[in-house]
Amino acid sequence: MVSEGALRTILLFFFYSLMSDRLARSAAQKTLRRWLRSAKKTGQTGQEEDFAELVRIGSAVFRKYAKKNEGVGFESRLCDIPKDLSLSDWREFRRRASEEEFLAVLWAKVLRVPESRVAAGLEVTEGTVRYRLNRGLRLLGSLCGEASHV
Amino acid sequence: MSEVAGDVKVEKIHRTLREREISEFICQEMLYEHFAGLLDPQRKKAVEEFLRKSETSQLEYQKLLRGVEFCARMNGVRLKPGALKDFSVKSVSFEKILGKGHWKNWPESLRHFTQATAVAAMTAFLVTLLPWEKIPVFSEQEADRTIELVKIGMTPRQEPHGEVADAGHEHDEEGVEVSFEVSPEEQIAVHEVQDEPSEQAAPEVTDVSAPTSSASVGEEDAAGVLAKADEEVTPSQERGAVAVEEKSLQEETSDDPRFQGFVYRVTMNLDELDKKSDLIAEKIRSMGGKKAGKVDLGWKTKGGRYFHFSLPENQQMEVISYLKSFGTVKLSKDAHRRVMPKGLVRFILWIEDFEKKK
Repeated sequence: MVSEGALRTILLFFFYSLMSDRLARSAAQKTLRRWLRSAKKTGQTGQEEDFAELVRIGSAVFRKYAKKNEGVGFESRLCDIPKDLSLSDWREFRRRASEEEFLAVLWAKVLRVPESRVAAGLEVTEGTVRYRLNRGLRLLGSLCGEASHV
Repeated sequence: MSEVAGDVKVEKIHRTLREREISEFICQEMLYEHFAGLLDPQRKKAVEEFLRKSETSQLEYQKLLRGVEFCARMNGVRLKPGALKDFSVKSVSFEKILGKGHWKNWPESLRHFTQATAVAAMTAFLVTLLPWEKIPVFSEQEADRTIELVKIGMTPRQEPHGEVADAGHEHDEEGVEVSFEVSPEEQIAVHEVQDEPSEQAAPEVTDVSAPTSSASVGEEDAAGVLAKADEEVTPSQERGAVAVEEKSLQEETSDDPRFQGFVYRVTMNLDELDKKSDLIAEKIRSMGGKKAGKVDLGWKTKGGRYFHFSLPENQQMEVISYLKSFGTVKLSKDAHRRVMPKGLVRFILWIEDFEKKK
C-alpha cells in the first residue's frame, strides 16, 4: 500500500508542475497506477525507498501532460496556498527554467526527495543534479527578488 | 642538502596550489554545494574567501538562499482535507481494476459468460438492424414479384410413335394410343389414385405430380416437341403475375435421356373455388383441352382443385391469360419423361383453396 507521504508527494508534484487541479489529479492517478505496477513487477513496496522509480515515472508523465497545460488558477481545491506564497513567481520560474532545472528543484528542494534518488530517477549523476539545482535555485531566487522589489 | 631543498620546493608548490584563488565562474558553480556543505575544507575556504571579495557572487549566493527559502515554503503547503483521501480511494479502485480486476484474472466461467453475452448482443444487433428486406436473397416479396422470361432452347426429339419407351401403353377415351415411360414410383402413385379416387384418398398438394403418370392423351401420334421454344412470357398482368421457373432443361435432357418431355405446372390460390373451378374447367374444354388421366377437370381434393389436362399448343397462352384473370399464377415448366404428341402440351393445374388455407 502506498504511504500517505508518497501520495502527497505525487499530488504536490503534479500540482506544482501542471498548476491545474484537474490535470494534477489525472496525472497523479496515472503515475500512481504505473508506479504500483512497476513496484509489483520488481517486488518493491511503493514506499519512499522506491522514489527513484517514482521520479522517473512522474517526470515522464509530466512531460506528456505539460503539453496540455491549461490556464492557471490561483485557487486550488487540492492545496491550501498560504497568502504570503506567490505562485506567480513559481509559474515564472517554470516558464524560464529549463525542464531539467525545474524538475530537479521541484523533486529535490520542494518535495525533499533525496538527491541520490532524484539522480537515479532522472538517470543522471548526483553532480549533475547539484549543478541543475544550483542554477535553478539561483534563477528562482532572482525571480523572488524581482517580485519583492516590485 | 639537495633533499632538503627538494622538500622546500614541494612545500611551496602545495602552498601555491592551496592559496590559488578560484575564479568567479567556479565560485558561482559551487555555491549550491557550498550551501549544502558538500565541499571539502580547502574549497570551502576558497569559496568563502572569494565571496568576501566578490559582490556579484554574494548576490548570486543570496539568490540561491532565497530560492531555497521559497522551496521550503512551498514544501510547507498542506493539502486540503479530503483531497488525499479521495485520491487514495480512486487509486485503490484503479488498482483493483488493473490488478485483480484485469481480464486475465477473471474467473473462467465469468469470462465465458461475458464472451457469450457479447456475441449474443452483437448477433441481436445485426439481426435487428440489418435491412434484410433489401437483400434479395432474404426478400420474400421480391421473390414473389420475380418475373422470369422463358426461353427454352430444348432440342426437339422426334421419335416415332411407340419408340419412346416400352414402359407402358394406354388408350385414352378416344382410343388414341400414346406411348410413355413410367417409373416405378409413378406406377405406385397411379395405383393409389386409381384405387381410391374419392376425396378422402385425394393426394396432398405436394403429391400433385402423382396422377400425372396416368396416361396423357394426344391427338397426333408424333413425338412430343417442346412448344414455343423461343417463347417469351410478357408479364403485363392486371391482377396477377406469372412466375415461370426454368429448370435447366437443356442439362437435364442431355444428362438423362429419359427426361425428354415436359409439363407445365401451374399453381394458384383462389377463393370461391367451386364457382371459379367450374368456369376454368369449362374454359379449358372450350379451348380444346382434355383431361389427362382418370380424374375429371377440377377434381376436388383436400384443400383445392386439381386439373390435369392436355391442350393444343396454340392455346397455351390463352389459357394462361385466362387463369391470370383470376389471380396470381405461378407457372413452371418441368422436364418430364413423358413426351407429348406434337402440337399438344400438358398442364397440371393445382388451385389451392385460399379460404381453407386461411
